[in-house]
Amino acid sequence: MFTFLMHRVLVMVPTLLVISVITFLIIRLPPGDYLSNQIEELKSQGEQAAVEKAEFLRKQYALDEPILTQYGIWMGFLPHQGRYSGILQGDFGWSFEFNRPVNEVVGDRLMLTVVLNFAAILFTYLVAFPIGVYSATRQYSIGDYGFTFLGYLGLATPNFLLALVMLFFFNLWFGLSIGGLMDPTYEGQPWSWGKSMSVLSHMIIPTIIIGTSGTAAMIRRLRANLLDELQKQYVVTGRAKGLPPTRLLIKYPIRMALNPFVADIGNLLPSIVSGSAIVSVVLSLPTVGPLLLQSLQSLDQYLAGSILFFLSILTVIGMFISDLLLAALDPRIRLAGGATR
Amino acid sequence: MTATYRYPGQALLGDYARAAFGLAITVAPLLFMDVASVMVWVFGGLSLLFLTFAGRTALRHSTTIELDAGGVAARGPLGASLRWDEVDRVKLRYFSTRKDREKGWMQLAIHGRSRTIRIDSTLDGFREVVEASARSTRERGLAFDPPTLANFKALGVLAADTL
Repeated sequence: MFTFLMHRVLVMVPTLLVISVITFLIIRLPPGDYLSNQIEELKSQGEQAAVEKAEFLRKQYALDEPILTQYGIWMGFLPHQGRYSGILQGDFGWSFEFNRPVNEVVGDRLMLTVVLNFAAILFTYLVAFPIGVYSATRQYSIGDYGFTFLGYLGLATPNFLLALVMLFFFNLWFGLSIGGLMDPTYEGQPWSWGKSMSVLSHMIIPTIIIGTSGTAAMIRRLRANLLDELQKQYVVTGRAKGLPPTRLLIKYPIRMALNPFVADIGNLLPSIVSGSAIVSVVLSLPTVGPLLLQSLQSLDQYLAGSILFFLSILTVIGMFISDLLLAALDPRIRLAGGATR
Repeated sequence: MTATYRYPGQALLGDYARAAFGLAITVAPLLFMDVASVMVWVFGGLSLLFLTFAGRTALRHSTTIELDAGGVAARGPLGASLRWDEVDRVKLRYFSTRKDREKGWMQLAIHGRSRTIRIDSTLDGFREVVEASARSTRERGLAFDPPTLANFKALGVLAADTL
């Protein structure tokens, strides 16, 4: 297992490097940059002082350098005479739109995004696992049909629509506004017990909204997988030998059926962050999703690049964790085509 | 008669290269760049892992596995020996870093008397050790877990009807 861990860690390094190159190229793909557009606009308005400041920033952030040099400086591989040092040095650059360092703009949003999405993943697993097992072990029962119906409903309902519906009904029935991730009094304040509790209480609805479709999909997959597993020879033999049903179920079929659960960790993290962007806009959640959207629209390259790179790191880490868990759960050799011998 | 097996140097070259490459890319930023404190921890932790990996590869390089009718022994630093009647569990695992699960490797873990002998499939007599441990475990009526059974079947160890 340790050898596997080391092989896998070594794969992560070039992956992250390639991702950083692709991220940088993507954010540099549109012609021009935020400052060039700004300079043109200011020139047309005849604002010389602002033009000079924009040109100063262009030099400061190496936007006048060749693209390869810009990449090297962005990552922190190459030294730069300006005050910008690079990602490896913990400097994510300057947000031209917000006129503040990216670290400050992203600030708490990054942590809130991680916490919210972790809660959504936890919700997905905690709800999907027992329902999936119940549905598979009691196939074609009323409960199974009921959960199947709810599952399809969850799959077919877009998250942002669910958010709008919940916003409306919570306001109508309880007179509550479920927008935001904390009471307005705590916004911009340092972290305290009160602020943490406020975030936790505000997280419940967004967690349910963001986690619903993932939960529905997971229930369907776990049910199908467990049904396959329950029909295998070793389960039949176990039953014939008189093993207690619960022990027989927990010992191997559930363990084998957990594969899609585990394999999905890598995909869940980034898909939840990017997929929840519209929900965040609808519910006014201070997460990085809406910020990414805004920065991509305005060509705010360092802000967009940092968020994209952060999402990529999440994906790579998620894949790493899921591969480790899969190797621990199911270390079987497979024939070409994916069948297990 | 005792058979002696070792890890061929060529088979371990890949792991030595991985350890060296991993050490180079994690230590170089610490030595030549002014990195953020978080990155110092990340690179520092990773370089320690690669150092351990290099040590483990060297350990395997200097280990020989002795197999006879009485048991199995790993001779070398941190070596151990087990008689077949002391073995209480045998596990055969398959690992691959590729998505199609091709080009992987196996690891045999023989447990008993609170000690474990781990043998990688790069050992020149890996199949013989797997066969001997599977045979002795089966003769003593001990059960294999499903992944181990599947891997024995894949290797063609033991007749299919006995699994």
